[in-house]
Amino acid sequence: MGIHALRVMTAVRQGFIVARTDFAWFYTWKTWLGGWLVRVLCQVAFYSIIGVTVGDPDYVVHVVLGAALMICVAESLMTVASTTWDLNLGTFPLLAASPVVPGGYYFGRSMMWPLSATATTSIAIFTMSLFFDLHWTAADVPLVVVLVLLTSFATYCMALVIGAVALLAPGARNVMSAVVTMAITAFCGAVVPVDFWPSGVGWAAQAVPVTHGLNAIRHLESGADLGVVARSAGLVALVGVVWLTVAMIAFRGLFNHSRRGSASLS
Amino acid sequence: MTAAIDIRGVTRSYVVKGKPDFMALKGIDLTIPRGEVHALLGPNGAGKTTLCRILSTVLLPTSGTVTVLGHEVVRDAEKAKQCLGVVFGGDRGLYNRLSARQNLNFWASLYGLRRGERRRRVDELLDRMGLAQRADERVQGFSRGMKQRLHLARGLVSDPGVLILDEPTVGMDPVAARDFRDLVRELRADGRTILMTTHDMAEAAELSDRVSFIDDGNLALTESPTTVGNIVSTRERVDARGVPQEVRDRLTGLAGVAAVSETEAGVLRVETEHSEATRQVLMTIVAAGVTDVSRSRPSLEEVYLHLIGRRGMAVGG
Ligand SMILES: Nc1ncnc2c1ncn2[C@@H]1O[C@H](COP(=O)(O)OP(=O)(O)OP(=O)(O)O)[C@@H](O)[C@H]1O
Ligand SMILES: [Mg+2]
Repeated sequence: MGIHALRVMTAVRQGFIVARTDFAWFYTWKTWLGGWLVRVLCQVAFYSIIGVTVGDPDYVVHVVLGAALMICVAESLMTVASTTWDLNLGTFPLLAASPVVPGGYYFGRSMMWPLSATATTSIAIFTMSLFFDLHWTAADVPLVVVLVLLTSFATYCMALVIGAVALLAPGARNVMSAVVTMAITAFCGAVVPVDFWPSGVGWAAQAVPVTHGLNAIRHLESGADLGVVARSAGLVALVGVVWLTVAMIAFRGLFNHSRRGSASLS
Repeated sequence: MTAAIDIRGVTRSYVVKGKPDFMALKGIDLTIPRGEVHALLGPNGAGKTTLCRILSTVLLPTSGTVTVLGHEVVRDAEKAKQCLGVVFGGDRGLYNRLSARQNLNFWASLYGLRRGERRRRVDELLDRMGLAQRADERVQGFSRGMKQRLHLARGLVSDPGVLILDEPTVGMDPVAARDFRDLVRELRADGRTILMTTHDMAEAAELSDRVSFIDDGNLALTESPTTVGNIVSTRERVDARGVPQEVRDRLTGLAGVAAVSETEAGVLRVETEHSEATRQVLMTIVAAGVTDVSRSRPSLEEVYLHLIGRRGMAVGG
């Protein structure tokens, strides 16, 4: 166990080094702030203004937080693409030949997205709160960040599973993440309440971390009991751990599958 | 002592949509003792890469067994991986946005090297491959040959006992290729076992203790490059330039001379049946004042062409 845990840690750390370098190649501080963050803020503002036109102040709060957390989903889902990058680099067979713990490596490999998502989403929430009249106590601020972090990582774990599937069909990776983003936006309570949909959809939404993340953060904003917030946060963590477990198994299975000679992986 | 590489009855088929399964390897048996440099030769599509991938645990054999230093590559893959260094040719397989040093550190960590050991090993390899000056530059800007060297360094990072090199010199300039040959000799002196594929016959002849010819998924022959010529011809031969016609006529009449011919390069080639005849031929030529003369054996390339046939650009399978 001790040695295995060490190997997992090493794989995560090495994956993260690759992630960090990729991210630094994508963005400088200037382009992240002036490009990505501004784009994100505009998008959240756009949805929030639509919320205002409905004329219900409670609905504005609902939409501001919904739109902000959808950013965290969209950004965490970029993992689906970056999980397939080793195929283009030609490093995949070398990883397969090495003693790497596949799930550990991939958990580190795209970690720039949930980290960046935590920052963008938190900034979006607090910035929009100034304009659309949401109220947070000083003690709420760190809690919001923690909830966003938790939701980003749980979504990340789900994205890893989708990424594992995308490794088998790398051509379809963009379609996959687009469809998933759309479905989550529609069915998980971002703008339309979950119980608007047939109950089957509602049940499926329970498997999506952001459904519970949204509940947690809305409870917090409405000044609900911290126990209620914690219960939703616990569900985020639980769902996240389940996805992570599935991801670990999926990547292990994928490496074994590649040994049998899958065309897309060789 | 167990062999470094032991391949028994290995077959491999690929599933191709809409066609019967394609057999890329049709039953390979090969044992490579420790410390040997072994070259795998054969035409495009013969199955060399497939065999390398099976050896390096990347691909499963359809049937048969492979052990590397006593570890079975299917059952004992984790142990086998630890004693294998793998280099697939070409310039892919590197993290382009990382520096050379970061690339090596990455793999060294995955192979379980601790910090101090890792730093020493990476510095040593960068030095050995002549990359120390540019160690901290992004690999993106490296030339193909530099990437190739980095690949070799990568393959050596875990200090493996067995190295699998699939076309390690494609794209190297002559100087780099010569450095590579020196490196292989050093690695052999370290006691490592090396299995390499190459299309460069001179390289194979110069470096390897034994060569294997693989054709259409079958092992055609395994021999030492110095004696492999015997399968083309058991005759001895003398090559000379600038031999006057009347001397040629005299050579043809000597006892034990089997053939006198001129090669495409304009060299007179005398083939003899035994060494006494060879001595006579040499004396006759030298006595005529000709000094551009040598004894030769059939080259590896001739053996290759003899075995594989002059297939030209047609790919088997
Ligand atoms: N993933 C795959 N799916 C189907 N067929 C494959 C696959 N990989 C290799 N093959 C086939 O197996 C045969 C052997 O290929 P392999 O790459 O081992 O040849 P090689 O000896 O390395 O050739 P080269 O000298 O061109 O590198 C070829 O006919 C090739 O088309
Ligand atoms: Mg090949």
